[in-house]
Amino acid sequence: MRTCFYESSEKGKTSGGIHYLSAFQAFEKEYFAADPTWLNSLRKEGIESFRNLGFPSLAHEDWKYTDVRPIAQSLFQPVFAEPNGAVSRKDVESNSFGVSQWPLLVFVDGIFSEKLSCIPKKLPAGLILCSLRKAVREHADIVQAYLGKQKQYPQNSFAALNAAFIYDGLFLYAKSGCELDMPVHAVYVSSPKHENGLYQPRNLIAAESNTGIAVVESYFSFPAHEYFLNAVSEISLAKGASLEFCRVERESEKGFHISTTNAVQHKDSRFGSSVITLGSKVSRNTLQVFLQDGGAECRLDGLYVTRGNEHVDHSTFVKHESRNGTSRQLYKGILDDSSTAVFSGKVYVDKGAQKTDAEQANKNLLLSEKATADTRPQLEIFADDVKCTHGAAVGHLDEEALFYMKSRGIGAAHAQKILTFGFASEVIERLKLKPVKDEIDRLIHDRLDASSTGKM
Amino acid sequence: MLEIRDLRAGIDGKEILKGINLKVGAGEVHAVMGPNGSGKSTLARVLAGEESYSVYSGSITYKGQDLLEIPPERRAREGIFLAFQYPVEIAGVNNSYFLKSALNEIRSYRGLEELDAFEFLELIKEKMKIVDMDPSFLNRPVNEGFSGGEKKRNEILQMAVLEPQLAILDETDSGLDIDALRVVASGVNKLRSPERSIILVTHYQRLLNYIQPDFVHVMIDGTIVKSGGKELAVTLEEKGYDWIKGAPAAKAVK
Repeated sequence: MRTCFYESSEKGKTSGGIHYLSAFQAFEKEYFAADPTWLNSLRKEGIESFRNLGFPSLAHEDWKYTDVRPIAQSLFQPVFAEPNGAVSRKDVESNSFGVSQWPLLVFVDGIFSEKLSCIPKKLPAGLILCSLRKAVREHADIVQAYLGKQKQYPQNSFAALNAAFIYDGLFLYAKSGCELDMPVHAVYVSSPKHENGLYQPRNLIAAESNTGIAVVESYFSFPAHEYFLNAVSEISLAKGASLEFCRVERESEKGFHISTTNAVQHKDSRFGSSVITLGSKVSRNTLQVFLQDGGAECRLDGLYVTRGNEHVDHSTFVKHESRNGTSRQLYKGILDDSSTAVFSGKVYVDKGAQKTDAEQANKNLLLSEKATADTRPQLEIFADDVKCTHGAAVGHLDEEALFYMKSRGIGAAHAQKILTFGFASEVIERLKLKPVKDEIDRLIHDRLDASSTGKM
Repeated sequence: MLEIRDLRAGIDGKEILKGINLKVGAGEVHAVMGPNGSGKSTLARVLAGEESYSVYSGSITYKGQDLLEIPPERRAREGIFLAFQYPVEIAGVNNSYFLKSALNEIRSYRGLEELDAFEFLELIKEKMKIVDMDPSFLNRPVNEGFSGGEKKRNEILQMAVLEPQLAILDETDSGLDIDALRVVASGVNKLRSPERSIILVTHYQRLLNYIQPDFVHVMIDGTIVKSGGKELAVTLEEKGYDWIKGAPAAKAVK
């Protein structure tokens, strides 16, 4: 199906945003005086944009399969202070891939926690790692140069809502030539302290030329806890910069998780992204990559495992704007019970983007008759000398493979588990950071063991 | 070991096996030959317990048990092995992990201790010699990207590891060049033993030049129409299946 990516917002608008307009007024009154004017302008633009857009309805082309009315109809409260004692060091440790050496930034309900974080005193020269809140005060020129400069999502109301309340998040800046030999781990934990909290971390990653960095964003929460997390990560990769980026989502079965990740890539830069979603009530991940200059490469992998009534929506947009760009996308989903998933991925190849090499694949494995997956791979190509492929599949476990395994003595339940894990392993194998890979491997095994249907 | 009596079976209401009678004793090698579509592979898959086939009447007795009551994984644990005509490719599942899982499920069913990774590796390296397979195959996904010959060797390797009492080889010779055929056949010959019965399902006589059967059965249109010794295969090779068509169905064999 061909659709225009940027469409008019008139259709597909839903009500429910008024609450946030008054929340913004309170925010303005309390916090604007202490912050720089340019930041306040960004916030004002954000709320203005959100006022115009409202929450998207199912009539909106980009939100056709994800109903955000449960978000729009609730009154979530923005949070600007870390709740005391809500989260322990142990909670964080058990979600840290068994690694204690990585620079660690912990955000509780979207707010940086000095106490729980551990940023090494000695970092490579030229590397700045701190909370956005601190960066606004201490590195204002850099923040101002990058924050909110990516205007490529004018129609995204959630990104606009996030912009309106920019307050805290991860800040990582690498000066030219700077390399960090281990990943930065940013943990976003939703505490049980706030009823109906709205957490909006704003992450900024800017890598100057010929740098090499890795970032892991982990999202987790306490069980059966209701909240709305609306994160935005902005990534800028200068010439020859390389970023390995990984998102792991383990939200509450009652949590709403909306994320927007934007990456702009300059000449010969490399961006590797892995998004692992293992739970939330509704999760929508928008990932947009702009290969602005020649020779840029991106690899976008995704693995989603859903159960119960969970809903996961992955929306990717890769725009090849210049020559010799390469993009690889592989998203795989395992859906059980009555869960639903959506993948809509678009590869857009601009007129000048000759010799583009783009691949996109989405495969869904349904473990239950009631689970459904919608997949919409799309290509829009305006250059004539390109190599672009895309494919999508939705299916059940292969009966012949199951029989093959059973005929070797492997019990039916075990055979299903092995096959299902085999399906996931293609994405797991592509995870570049070993501790993350090992942990995801373990989590998927646990999940398959605990499958509520008892089929696996 | 195995006794099939007046077996009628098919798929989606279509009868394919129309009264099969076959008796296989311990240590015997039986060849079931027949033209395409005669029901040979159906017989093989019904023996292994594929659930999409329905058995309409008749019986299969294996080691004194009613085989039709037993699900496929338990048949395997009881010692039945089917070498597939088209071995299945399983993405993301490593060959070694697959085989170790199978072997350990069979061992634990039989009250034997499971093998750990080290013990399994020792065992599998020994077994790989039987089919002249490179150890690098262990770390590749099951059958994925294997050539036709490699897939068939992998089947025989599995047979060597799982040590069945009744092995059914479904068209194991199909798609093999002469060198691969020799390797596979020699692997099977090494696995012959007085405790192990083998049913070779094949279209061509050529496999039987390498694996000498004790009995040959000719199957046409869902029934065994003729049975005899290994010389029957030679006659078939000379005269083709046509000379035999129309012959009355054999009753109890042997």
